[in-house]
Amino acid sequence: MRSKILLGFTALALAAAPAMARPFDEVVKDGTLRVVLYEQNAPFSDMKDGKPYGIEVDLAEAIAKALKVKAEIRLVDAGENVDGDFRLNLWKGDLAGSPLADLMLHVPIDKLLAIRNEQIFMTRPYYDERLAFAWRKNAVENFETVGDIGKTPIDVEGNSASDAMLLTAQGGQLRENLKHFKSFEEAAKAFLAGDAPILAGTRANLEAALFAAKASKDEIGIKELRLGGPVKLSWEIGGAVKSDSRDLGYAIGDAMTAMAENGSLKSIFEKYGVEYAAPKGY
Amino acid sequence: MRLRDQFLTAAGALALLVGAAAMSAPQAKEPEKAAASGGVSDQDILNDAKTPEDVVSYGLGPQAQRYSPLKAINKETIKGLVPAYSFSFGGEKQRGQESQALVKDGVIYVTGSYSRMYAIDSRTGEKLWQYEARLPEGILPCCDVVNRGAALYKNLVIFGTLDAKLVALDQKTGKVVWKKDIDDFKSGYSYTAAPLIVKGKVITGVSGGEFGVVGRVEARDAETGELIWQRPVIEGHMGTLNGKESTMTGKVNETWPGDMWKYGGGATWLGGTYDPETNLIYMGTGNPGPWNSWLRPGDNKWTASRIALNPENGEIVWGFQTTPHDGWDFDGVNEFVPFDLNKGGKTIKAGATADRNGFFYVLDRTNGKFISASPFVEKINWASGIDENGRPKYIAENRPGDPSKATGDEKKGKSVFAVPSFLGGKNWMPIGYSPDTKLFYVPSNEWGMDIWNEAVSYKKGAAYLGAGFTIKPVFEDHIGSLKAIDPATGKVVWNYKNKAPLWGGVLTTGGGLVFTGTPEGFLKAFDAKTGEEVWKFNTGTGVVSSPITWEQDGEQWIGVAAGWGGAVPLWGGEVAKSTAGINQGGSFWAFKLPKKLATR
Repeated sequence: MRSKILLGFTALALAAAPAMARPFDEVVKDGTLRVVLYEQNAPFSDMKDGKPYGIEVDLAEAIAKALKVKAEIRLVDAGENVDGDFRLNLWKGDLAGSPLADLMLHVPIDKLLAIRNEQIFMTRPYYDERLAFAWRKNAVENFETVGDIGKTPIDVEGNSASDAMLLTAQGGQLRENLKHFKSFEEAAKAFLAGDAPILAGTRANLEAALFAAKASKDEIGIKELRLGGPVKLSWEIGGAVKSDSRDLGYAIGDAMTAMAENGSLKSIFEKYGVEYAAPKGY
Repeated sequence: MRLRDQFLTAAGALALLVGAAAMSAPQAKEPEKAAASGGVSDQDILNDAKTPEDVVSYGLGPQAQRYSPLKAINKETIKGLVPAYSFSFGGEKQRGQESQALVKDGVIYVTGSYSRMYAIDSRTGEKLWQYEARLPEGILPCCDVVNRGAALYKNLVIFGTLDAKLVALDQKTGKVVWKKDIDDFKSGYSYTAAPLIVKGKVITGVSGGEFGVVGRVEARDAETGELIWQRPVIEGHMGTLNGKESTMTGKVNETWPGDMWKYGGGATWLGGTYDPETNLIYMGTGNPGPWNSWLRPGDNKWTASRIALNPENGEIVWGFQTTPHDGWDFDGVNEFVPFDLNKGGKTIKAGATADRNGFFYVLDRTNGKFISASPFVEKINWASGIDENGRPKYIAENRPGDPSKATGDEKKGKSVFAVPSFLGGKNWMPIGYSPDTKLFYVPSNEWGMDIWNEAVSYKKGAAYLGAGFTIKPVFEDHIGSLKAIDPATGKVVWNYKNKAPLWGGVLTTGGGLVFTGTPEGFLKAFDAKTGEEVWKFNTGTGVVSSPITWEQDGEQWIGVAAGWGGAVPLWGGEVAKSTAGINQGGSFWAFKLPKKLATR
């Protein structure tokens, strides 16, 4: 905690003037690409032993390498919504005066989100995210449809996509099944310790948690269910830059395309136990 | 030498005070030993409303009536009120200044935005010391970087910071005496309210709206900061007393489904009031989470409520829920102000509160029994009124829709126009009560909101069920409305309309005046009986704080922090038009009525 506060201050001191998000040539000239990633967002990004760690940390470094610059990664808390994160990290800044980033990763590539945030420009997507369930095969006999859930308890991170989906799906009939946790990590820990027979999360969350726990695929399965409700069951993830830095966005997109084609994107995901799911049409 | 002078002044003032108290209130106890050492004693705090030469507590006394008996400034003499000095908070940090200043022994203690504190000479405006909290990067305060004020106790001045710490400074030097974490700011906790001192304990709530934040009230030893008791406000949670579990708040699942009580919200972000007559602390509690009410059937206690607590052990003595099963973000933290209600020839120990939901409630403060409720803003449409038990008569079609029944491509759910908006008929800005006019003075806002389920919504890069909203004025010519309300009848006696939303507290005086600030930059004074505007002064930036008054060297002074900000400028749309072009600032203004002009 304390060391992190100090880290923050150093970053502030280095950026004497409130740093602006910058177009491609300025990033190249400066030699650094400032990237903002979410904290507590494993397997994509989190702090581990005092250092940023995860799929998007590796991705940010690979992008920076392709642009022949150094990545300067900062982990931030997620705000109330992604629109707010754009404002805080890319174009306006926060009330504490933290420096703006050139690039934000883990951005849902959604046309409506892009339209209502004209200050930012989205890159091409690099991953297709889906909501899913992990289930203990010996505890749930059949797990093919929503009806198979019945009254089976479900471990879930509170206020997460899966939580919003489960609270509203099927007219709300699954609400009483939910066992809420403060983070996905805590929910997964409880599930793996034998708490509820079902764990809800994103596919990447689930795969990485099972991989880290060395769980057997014969005992625990992963399943996507088609639940009816207002919350999206899948979306694509990409990056965002400030709208006056489109050339930077294109250069990053080109770097991602090259990585998708030469298989290095897939290897990054696999390192964390996540099966690479290419966005549709890429 | 200076120290000695102050000691003498304090002792002199105290002697006067004890004399006055002894005449009017024979039960008043002897001042405690701490007072003799020149500090602020418990007795000083209890007597604050009757000692106009100082302001040692938030609200001008623990009941927070914001009434001073000072009479020199009245509607005739106020023409002579002149600025004495303006003190700049300095730095590049401006934004909203919501602080109520304190004044004791020739020193003003005032907090500024970004968790700063200043001690200034109350006669000259010269700075004595300044304290700036070192705020970590990554704090995400929801609604501006404000602070609402400090508390004085013995030789300490205590205030809370945006990263959820409580800091006690030495009044003379500004040096830290103790510092405690209220909670972890990384989990979404913050602190902006003025702490309350009750019998040597510093009483605080918590700020924060993130998942997992549960509102609670805490008491610490004011001299050391050591925790004495904690009381979570959501049923099912255990309280603590002296480091051990005490009792559970309510019963598990009585008014919540599943395990949703665990993360129920109810942040106690505005702090509380205290009534020495009933020996109860009154706290308001915030809205429940998640925001959409359909996801949590039940009353969801004690969110959007007033609760009365025993200061010794933190037990809840009574609770009254203003908005059961809140669906509009009617964050019911509003202060509960004790007063004596004269009704049918009887005096009732009552208390009043002007709720976010637009209704002005009068309750029996001994037991929380409902006495009356009346609308204090116009065109309320989420409820048709409050029934004889104090429960809202909901208008079903004006509750935001059930997301699980949402249809269509964007699955927005039903959009409703609800009045008031989630910023409330009244927000944080404190009301005042004058025992002379027997009226409450309520800074209110006339606005509504379109609110709907936002299906295309993402949090931390993942799909989410968000809310979309647009705040809209209800009238074309004004949003702000300062109202005088008769608590015996619920009637609005007068109404001053202001173009921009009102966001500052009020002060009432024995001179028959009501003071409040406006975003347009004015500190204004009104005739407490008629609402006639009798004086105004432009501070050069918006006024969104609570004014004070005190007497010094035989003259009456008025003080107010100035600096535009708060939650209003963060919300765009048509409301922003009324405040467009208002510049930020950060200063403390002092005014005085020179002696020669006061005689009449």
